[in-house]
Amino acid sequence: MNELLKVSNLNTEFKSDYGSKQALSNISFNIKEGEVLALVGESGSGKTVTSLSIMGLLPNNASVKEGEIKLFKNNSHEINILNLSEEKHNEIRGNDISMVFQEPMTCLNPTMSVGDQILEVITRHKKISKTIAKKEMIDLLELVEIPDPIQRATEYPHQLSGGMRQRIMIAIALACNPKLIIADEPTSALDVTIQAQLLELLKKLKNSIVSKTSILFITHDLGIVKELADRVIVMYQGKIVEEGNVLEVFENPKHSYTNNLIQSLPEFKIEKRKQENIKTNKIINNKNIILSIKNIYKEFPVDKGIFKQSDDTVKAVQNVSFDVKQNKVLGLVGESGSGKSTLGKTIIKLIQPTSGEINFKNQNISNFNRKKMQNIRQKMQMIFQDPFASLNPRKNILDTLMEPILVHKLLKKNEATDYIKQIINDVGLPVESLHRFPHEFSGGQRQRIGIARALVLKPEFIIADEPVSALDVSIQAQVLNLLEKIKETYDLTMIFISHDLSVIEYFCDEVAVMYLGHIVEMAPVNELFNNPKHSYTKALLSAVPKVKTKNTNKILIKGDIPSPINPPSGCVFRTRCPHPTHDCKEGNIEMGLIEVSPDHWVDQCCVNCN
Amino acid sequence: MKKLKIILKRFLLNKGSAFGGIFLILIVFSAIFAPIIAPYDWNAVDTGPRLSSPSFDFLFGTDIHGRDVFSRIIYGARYSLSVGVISVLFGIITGSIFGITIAYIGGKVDIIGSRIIDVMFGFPSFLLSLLVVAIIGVGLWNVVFAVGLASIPHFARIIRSAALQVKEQPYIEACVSLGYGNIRIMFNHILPNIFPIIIVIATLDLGGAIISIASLSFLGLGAQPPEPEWGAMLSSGREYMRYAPWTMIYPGLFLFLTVMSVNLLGDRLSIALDSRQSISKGKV
Repeated sequence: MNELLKVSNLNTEFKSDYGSKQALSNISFNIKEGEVLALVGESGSGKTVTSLSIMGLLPNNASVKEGEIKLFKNNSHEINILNLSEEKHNEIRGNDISMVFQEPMTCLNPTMSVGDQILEVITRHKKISKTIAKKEMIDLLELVEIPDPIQRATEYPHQLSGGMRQRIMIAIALACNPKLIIADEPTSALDVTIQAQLLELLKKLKNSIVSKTSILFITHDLGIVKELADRVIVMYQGKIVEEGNVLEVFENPKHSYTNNLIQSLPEFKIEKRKQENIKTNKIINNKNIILSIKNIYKEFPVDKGIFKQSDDTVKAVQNVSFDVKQNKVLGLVGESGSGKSTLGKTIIKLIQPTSGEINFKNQNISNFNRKKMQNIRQKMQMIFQDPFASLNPRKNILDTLMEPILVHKLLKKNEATDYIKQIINDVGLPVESLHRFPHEFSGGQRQRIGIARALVLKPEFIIADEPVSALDVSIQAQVLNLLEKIKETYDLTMIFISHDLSVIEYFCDEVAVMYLGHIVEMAPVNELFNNPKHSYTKALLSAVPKVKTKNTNKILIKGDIPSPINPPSGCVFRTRCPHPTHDCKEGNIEMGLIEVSPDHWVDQCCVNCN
Repeated sequence: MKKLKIILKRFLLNKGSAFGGIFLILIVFSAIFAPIIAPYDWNAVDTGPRLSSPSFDFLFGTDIHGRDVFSRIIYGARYSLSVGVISVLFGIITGSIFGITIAYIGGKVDIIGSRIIDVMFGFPSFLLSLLVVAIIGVGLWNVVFAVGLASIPHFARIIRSAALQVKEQPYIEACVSLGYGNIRIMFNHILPNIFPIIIVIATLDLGGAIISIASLSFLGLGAQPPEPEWGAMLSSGREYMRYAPWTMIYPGLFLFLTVMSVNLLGDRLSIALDSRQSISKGKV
């Protein structure tokens, strides 16, 4: 294969008030014609900066200090991209090299129909008549598998779902048959089932028409790399630490960083624990129910302005009931919009449920007002998703941890300091950090502070709302280890909310799968992962790209999650179900869980189908 | 304290804010040490010939009563700055409490509170001050109160929208989950996070407040003679403008320079506190 792009000795620097920072140092690699090269690394490793350097789209305060980026056009003809004028560079962008960005929401112009946005790229680079260009545009939409392309072309970005928008972005990138497509985390903002659809599309494209096009695929997800790429480059702190064939790198990583990265994946940790568990094998069978919720509904009214009253409601949580046993972790898993976070916040009464019962330690707290909740709050705490936004930036860590103790009058101020020191030690932070402010910490450290804040009131029950989703893989592993440790030492019962199935599998004892506000399946963790009954659970499990095992028969589910304002009647999953019966299609079957085997509950619609 | 250093650096790099800063320091200094700096008593009649033009003895000339204009301006600085600051403080404190409260409680309270702000916006703020003075009567402190009151809707609206943004942050949600009371959340958690905005809008508004108070005094509603308030001095010099322009030029000039300095400073403050701006690009 011929070389297409050759990056040699690339050094890129960022300047700020605090001085300059080397973002890339001595990056050299090449991309061959028709290959998919994955650039993988954690946040801040310089993978996006590399792509922006190639595109010439670096922000104003960044500059390439040294190096060459050569693009080989027509075999012999070569261009050094870095020496090009802005005008010449524009000729290349979109024509020879194009880009798919992470956020399909913000990267499409909201005031232009998607068809026009594709047309614009075609007419900018090709001298062809409008009718031919239009035909090409429709062909492109068909290529990226958009149903009803003629109709869709006239629609605006806000009318399309996230997955559709990303397809449009890919169509725009493909518009001029570019030699290289740079895809910067194109599926990271999407749900797993949508991500699986897009990966399938990319694989198809790779094997068909665009076989001569190379893809530079930037991602943090090793599973995707395994699934899609031919070669992989591992970046760490602006340097390339490892480069090689995908299979080789995963089988036999040479650099210790790559090895660590792979080992910290939950799927590897589960394996490791399984081996250890055979030795220890302690099973605590506690029947003591600490939290029991019954028929919880939460509906948000849709705002239509001050004067208009609307009958529409967002049906966020629908008829959810379950028990959480003492010292167990219940996992809530589902895609965005499934209502799992709303349910978590409802249980801790950050949101008032529309109806239903929340029994916490044999007390129905669902109608407690804020004053009555005060005592409950001490026993029931929350760990938040975003470690950056969930800490008050104007308070140092000591104040953040001290305030709850003083408000609840747990301890005197002088006693509290010692207690806080002990807690900060327990979450693995040095005592000196007490006098620092949140912005001085990294994401993982901040999440540790968030955990400390939840622990400070000595709660018995903690709801963790996606506590590791915002973190890099290796940090994620550390925080999960910490959560496991504190669960033991502080004798906690937890609800663990996540969209990441492998994290759920690693951390939870029982799992409830949510879809459009309903629980569709609930079972102990091993049962659910080894013997899933509901089609949605099956699809969800097979959608996750894994490094270790090859997913041979993927169950792809079509389409997007329906709007929770107008969910399908009867079984909410029927619109995406891979094998619906006549009755479900008509929406005749009501939803409700049936116990198929001890502790394994499945929605009755899907029990009947199978 | 790296951050503080950078903010200071951003200040001093700019000619406008450096000038504003130096001039304001001079004014504050002379207001404090007025008895030492002023060559004559501000209220002493016939310290020299009436309406004499500026000379070495009388730097800015004398007025109709033979009082030294320079001394009166030095003492006047005490009024202009302090009344401006007090009226802005009054406005911003009330506006902050109002804005944060309606934003935090939300729902109907927010809708009604916002409409009240809208209604008050319907009146030009100067007219509103006039109205208030008409009701509570003439006098410097009444004018200060009136101008402060008229600035409340402006402050309340900006602070409400800032508080709304902070309110949506997860750390406020965390406060609720920790069982904190409303007052604690509003003033111990939301307020510190919008404090930079409060400082900037207060500074930007200070110039306007000084002008408004001086204007009302010029109309005879505020400071009463013989008080050496700059607006009142302009008013009393008006009749002799043709023969003795210095009785108007100097108070006017000082009023102008003070307000300009405050505004230059306020503009820079809003840029300096905005961490997204970078000085390395020389775009200051």
